[in-house]
Amino acid sequence: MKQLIKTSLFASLFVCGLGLVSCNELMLGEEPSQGPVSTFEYLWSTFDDHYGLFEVKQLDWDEVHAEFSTKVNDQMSADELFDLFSEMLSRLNDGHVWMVKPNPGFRRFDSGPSFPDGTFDLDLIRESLSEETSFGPADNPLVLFGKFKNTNIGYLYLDHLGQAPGFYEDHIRTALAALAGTDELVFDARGIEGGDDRSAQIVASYFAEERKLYMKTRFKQSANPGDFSDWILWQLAPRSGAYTKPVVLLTDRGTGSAGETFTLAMRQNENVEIVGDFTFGAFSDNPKWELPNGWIVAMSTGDFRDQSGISYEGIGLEPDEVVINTPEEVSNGTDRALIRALSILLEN
Amino acid sequence: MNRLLKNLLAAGCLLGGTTLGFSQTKSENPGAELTVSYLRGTQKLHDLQASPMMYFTDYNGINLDYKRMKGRNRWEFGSEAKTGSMIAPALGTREFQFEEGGEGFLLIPTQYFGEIRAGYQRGLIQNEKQETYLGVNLRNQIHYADGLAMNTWAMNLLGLGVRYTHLLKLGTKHQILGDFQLPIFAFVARMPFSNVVSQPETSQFKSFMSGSTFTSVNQFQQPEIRIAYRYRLARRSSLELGYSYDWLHYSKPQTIKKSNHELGLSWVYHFQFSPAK
Repeated sequence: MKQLIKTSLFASLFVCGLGLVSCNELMLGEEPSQGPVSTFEYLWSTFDDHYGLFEVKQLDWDEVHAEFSTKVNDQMSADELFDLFSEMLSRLNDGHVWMVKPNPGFRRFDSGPSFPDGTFDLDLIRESLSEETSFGPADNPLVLFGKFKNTNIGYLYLDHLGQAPGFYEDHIRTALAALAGTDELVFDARGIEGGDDRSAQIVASYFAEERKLYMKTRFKQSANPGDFSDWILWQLAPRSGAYTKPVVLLTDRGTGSAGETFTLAMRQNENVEIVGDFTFGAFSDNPKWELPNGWIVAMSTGDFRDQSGISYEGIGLEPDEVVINTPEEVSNGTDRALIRALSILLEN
Repeated sequence: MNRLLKNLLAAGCLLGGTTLGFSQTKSENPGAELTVSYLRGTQKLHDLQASPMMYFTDYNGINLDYKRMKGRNRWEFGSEAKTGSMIAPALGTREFQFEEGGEGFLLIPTQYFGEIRAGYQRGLIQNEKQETYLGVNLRNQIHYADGLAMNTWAMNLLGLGVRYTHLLKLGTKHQILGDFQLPIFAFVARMPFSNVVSQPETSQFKSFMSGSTFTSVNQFQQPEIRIAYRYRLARRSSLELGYSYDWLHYSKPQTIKKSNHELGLSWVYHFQFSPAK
């Protein structure tokens, strides 16, 4: 009898235990409602907690809440809600803020400015190279270098900086060894839309003669306004085999994110002159957040500044000499920025 | 007559062999055992740093475990590797595109996780009916998923905890095992509040791990229970069926709660026999 009681008690405890651990809400917490109002509040508060550029952009996010919370209701359609969120996020004017809604009816919204496409054509440049080596797909190389016909001017192009730092350590060393005999170089950063800031640091270090601070970054570390991590200092770290002869760096509005932190670093090298258009103006990393309704939004959680503490978010980096290609010129076979770069180097 | 003699001889051999086998089982104790397990489980994750929604992962995995027993002392070293697809039941399967008009892709992150562990236990009770052990367990668990809300998600837990094991012997072939462990101290590495890991001239893994914080049971809870039934197949091998459940709670930088329900089917190889005392 005693054994039976013991066994029954044990079995009851076991069943209760199983019931307890099977209860998701008790063991894992509650999920927010997926309705428009709840999703709006989640989106607003996620930016309020994590967005790193309110101070830089001088934007009062509470005012934005006051304005938009009155426009949201649970009867809105998904498209109406997407339009409202897009209008709210456009106040940030941040090229690293975007939002996507899944299929069916996929939509994407980008908060930042848009610039005309077609201001740069790699194929146009390839026609004027006498020697060309590339890595990656032939029609869309990751790295391309060569020499302009009838000159001793080298050309180096990177599609992006998204590979691991070791990739650039190897390929830039190889490229610069092949271009060591040239007198000058055009570095084309007009295709670099983004990538890894560590890769940008390595590539720029191959043009550096001395260790120099070029960037300070910090990230939100709590929901408290203005609560950032300590500054992380980014320095050029000269490499053996560095190219220290004159370089013209070409930039345009397509040079974004890690392409811009690369440009920040190259600006510190005295042998580098920058020609072209302003860069895009979106520096910080932009991790993604999921909304309760399944949409995904990207935002800048960092605050990236140059070595003096100046932020160029939403502005972009101004070249030493502004030469802006138009799509019409490029489609007619003229790259004025490149022509200017070559003339600067030939004048040396 | 000849046939009867043969039958008697065969029966005698069989009885003798069985008796010998039985006596060997009784008079010898394995000094070590190697366990290979197939694991099948469900992980439920609610990590507010990654998503407000819960993610379920039905996973498969393997476990390798080596146990050394000498007198009252038990040492254990083990490792596990598991993988499965993560689904948020409230969101369903979602198809995104990189841009409007672009090609669609399903956002179903794959999670890879596993652990290595080492432990020591000291016998409290050791008799013919039961054995109990109490000791410490050092365990490192690592989780990685690419594409959770289009981000990399990772977590590393290095915990030092107490472990209690209770073994019930039901005859010579059947055993019931109960096990409980609780980390007391832990180093926890999670994605930072900004969800960005980026340091100059430092690998992302190193940057991620350098963000580890030391914590203890008042802030970090991860109790685990396991019950198992073991059947002795032969002198050198056993079959084991086990169920384990663990629950995790930690609140920095944002609250994470996680639970695992797991079934394990194991084959145990016994070796390094020594005479029983």
